[in-house]
Amino acid sequence: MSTATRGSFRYALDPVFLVALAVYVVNRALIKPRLRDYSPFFHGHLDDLLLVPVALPVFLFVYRLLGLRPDNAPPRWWEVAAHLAVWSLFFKWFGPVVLHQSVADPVDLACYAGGGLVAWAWWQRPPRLSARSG
Amino acid sequence: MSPLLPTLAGGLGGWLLLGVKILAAFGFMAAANFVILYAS
Repeated sequence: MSTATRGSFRYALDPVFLVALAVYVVNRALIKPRLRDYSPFFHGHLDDLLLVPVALPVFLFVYRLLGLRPDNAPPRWWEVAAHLAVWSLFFKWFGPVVLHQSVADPVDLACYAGGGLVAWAWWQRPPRLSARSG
Repeated sequence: MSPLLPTLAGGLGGWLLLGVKILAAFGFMAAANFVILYAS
């Protein structure tokens, strides 16, 4: 499918990225400091759900700047899957085992994948008619 | 000068540039992953 029919991905201006970033900032600045007790969702899983929608557009933008990404198509399934694999290894094996930073929780992997799947599905939506030229 | 030399040099330069770009991408990925790991 061509970029024209799939729409143009806007990286840091992408609505999924902006909403996910806003949720991350609100959780970090407003919600977490106000919680008396540890909340598995707000202290852990929410950030994991937001990993792909927040981080992937930034990574893809850098690849595009370097000329390694040929177009501005929305993130492809294999781009999401490859980054999920790298992040799962880095954050849930290298971090806990080698750096003794973070913990190896399999639920976190499910959260990475779940957030990535939802973001990818949203990114594959056809462009709105008003956004098309002609 | 053989016309092959500029072609070879151009091809080599292209591959070298691609290698530098891939290295830069891996460098960015590693640095960003460390930032995410220690910031979370």
